[in-house]
Amino acid sequence: MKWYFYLALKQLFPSGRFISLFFVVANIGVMLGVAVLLIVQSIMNGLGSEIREKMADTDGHVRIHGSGIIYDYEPLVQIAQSMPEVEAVAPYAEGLAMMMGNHIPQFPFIKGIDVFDEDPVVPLQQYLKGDAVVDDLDDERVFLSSGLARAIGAFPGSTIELYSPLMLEKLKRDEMLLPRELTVAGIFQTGYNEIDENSMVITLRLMQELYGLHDGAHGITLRLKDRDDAEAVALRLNEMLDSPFYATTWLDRNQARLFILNLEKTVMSFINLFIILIASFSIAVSLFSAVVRKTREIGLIGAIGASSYQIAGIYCFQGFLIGITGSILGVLLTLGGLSIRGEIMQGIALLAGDPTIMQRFYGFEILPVEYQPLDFAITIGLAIIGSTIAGLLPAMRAAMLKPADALRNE
Amino acid sequence: MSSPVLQTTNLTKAYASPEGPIPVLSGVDMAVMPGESVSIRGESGSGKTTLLYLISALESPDHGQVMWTGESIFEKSSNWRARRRCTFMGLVFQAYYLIPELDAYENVLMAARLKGKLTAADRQRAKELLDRVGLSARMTHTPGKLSGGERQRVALARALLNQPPLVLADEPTGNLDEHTGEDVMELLLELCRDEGASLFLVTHNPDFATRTDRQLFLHGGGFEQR
Ligand SMILES: Nc1ncnc2c1ncn2[C@@H]1O[C@H](COP(=O)(O)OP(=O)(O)O)[C@@H](O)[C@H]1O
Ligand SMILES: [Mg+2]
Repeated sequence: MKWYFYLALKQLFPSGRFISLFFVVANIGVMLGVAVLLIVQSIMNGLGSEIREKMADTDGHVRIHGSGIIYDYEPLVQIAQSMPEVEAVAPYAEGLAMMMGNHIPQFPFIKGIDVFDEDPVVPLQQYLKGDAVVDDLDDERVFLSSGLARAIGAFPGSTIELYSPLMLEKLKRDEMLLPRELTVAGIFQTGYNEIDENSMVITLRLMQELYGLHDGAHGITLRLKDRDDAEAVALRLNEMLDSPFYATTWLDRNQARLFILNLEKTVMSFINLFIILIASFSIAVSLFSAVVRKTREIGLIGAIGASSYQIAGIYCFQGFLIGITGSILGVLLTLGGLSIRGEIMQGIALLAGDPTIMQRFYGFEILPVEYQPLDFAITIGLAIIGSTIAGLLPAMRAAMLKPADALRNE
Repeated sequence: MSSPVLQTTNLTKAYASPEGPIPVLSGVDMAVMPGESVSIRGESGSGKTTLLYLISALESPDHGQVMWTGESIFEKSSNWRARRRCTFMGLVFQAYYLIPELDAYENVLMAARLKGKLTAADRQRAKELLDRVGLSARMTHTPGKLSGGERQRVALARALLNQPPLVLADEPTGNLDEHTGEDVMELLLELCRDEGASLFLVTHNPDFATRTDRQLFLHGGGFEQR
């Protein structure tokens, strides 16, 4: 081993002592910085994936639109079904409506789905609460989102009144159309706020009736076997479809929200990066004071034959080593900490006096986590670069010492 | 007749200061023969340490030459000097300068590590030297656990590890009490004699000086006869 590596290791692990206090403290700093960054990023990834999945599920992977109402959608359905990536296809209609429940007016987003399809394109069943099933939906019944149900105090079995835009049309012609009385068949919660807040699901046939669509729909929803194929499928569809028909993906339709999701992760990572920066500073300060304290020993090593580069190597190597060991500890802390996140959250819930609190507020009991190799590579890279630079500054100072001056330094 | 281990000709050095240059040495000529011990005395500030730094090439002179076994060192690269110094001379200072994280044995071995590869012979010699200075039982002790006298003995062993033909010592007993200083000085003179190394000894103590082959007095920038 080169003597300067040897001396660097000896300063971190001195003879007669197991480990130097500096090495322990510096490692804790880097470890915490790396762990906090990785934990935050992994949780953001997990939550992001969850939101993406719900977005894609509830929105439909690919949709075919026209200009306004599509009256003859059967050919479009056939085109879509002919594609190997497509798992299920169904027409839909959507829009806003006014409703009353318990004399409280609401203006929910309303979606008409084709429930007669055996395999619904939107996986509604998994979001239904209690023992409601998708089959319960018919032209007299409705599913409400959890937020909407709460706002009007509705439960399965309650009745609501639905007012459609068609009523206004009729009014203009001095005709009267009474609001439609519907029974709540079930309540759904997707965990995706946008939808859970204020929406309802009815049958496509009822929607057609209320909106005067006759046999038409607003578009076709496609569910793919793999949602990652969405862009490729949309691209091919757009080559096949004639104007005015066109296909969009869930990514196109949620661009703004996806952008914010990514931005959130970037901002959180950036803020947490400062922990690594602070850890690096503390390494730099400690090594700097070590250089000042050891001025004469450094002078002697120089006097008996060490070059400036070798002396610089002693301190640079220490920073580098702390970067590596601190990163390893940080990764272990991340994996260890997140592997018992269920227990930790349960502990918090128990402290709050309510074991179901997580499920009720966040829609999950265990925090979703997703590890991305790139996050690990960048974080570890930054930690190692940060601590090596932290070693470099004192190293330069040590290298600039002239042995004679250092030895005269009494 | 053999040639000198160390020779200086017309060695001149002044330090720059805001009030103008401070002349320290003006035209020092001296030679140390193989195996010879030379003591330098002089008042504080007379330039003894400066002379030692010049002949060990830790500083460079304004004029004049330093020759190590006939080679004019300031005509060579600083890299050459650093590498040559490692095996050509052993250095002992008033304040030991041991590395606190290394134990006594490892401190002695540092001299061999700096030279290049560490061999089994180096390890053997380090143990022998520590035995010679009476510290074979304290090999695994770090400097913090050693007394001043013991530390200086470790420094002596380190200075001699690479079998240098020349040992430079700058007031090696300056930090020690009278009795301990006596022991350390005895050891230094004895080791140099046994190893056949020349000794360049800076000291204040006239007793120690009389035990060297030749006594020099530095005054007013040059040697004076007494
Ligand atoms: N780096 C320096 N800069 C300026 N003056 C110095 C420096 N080093 C030594 N001197 C001066 O040079 C003179 C000789 O110093 P030194 O060789 O240390 O004396 P000694 O070792 O004989 O006591 C002193 O006056 C000291 O103040
Ligand atoms: Mg001096």
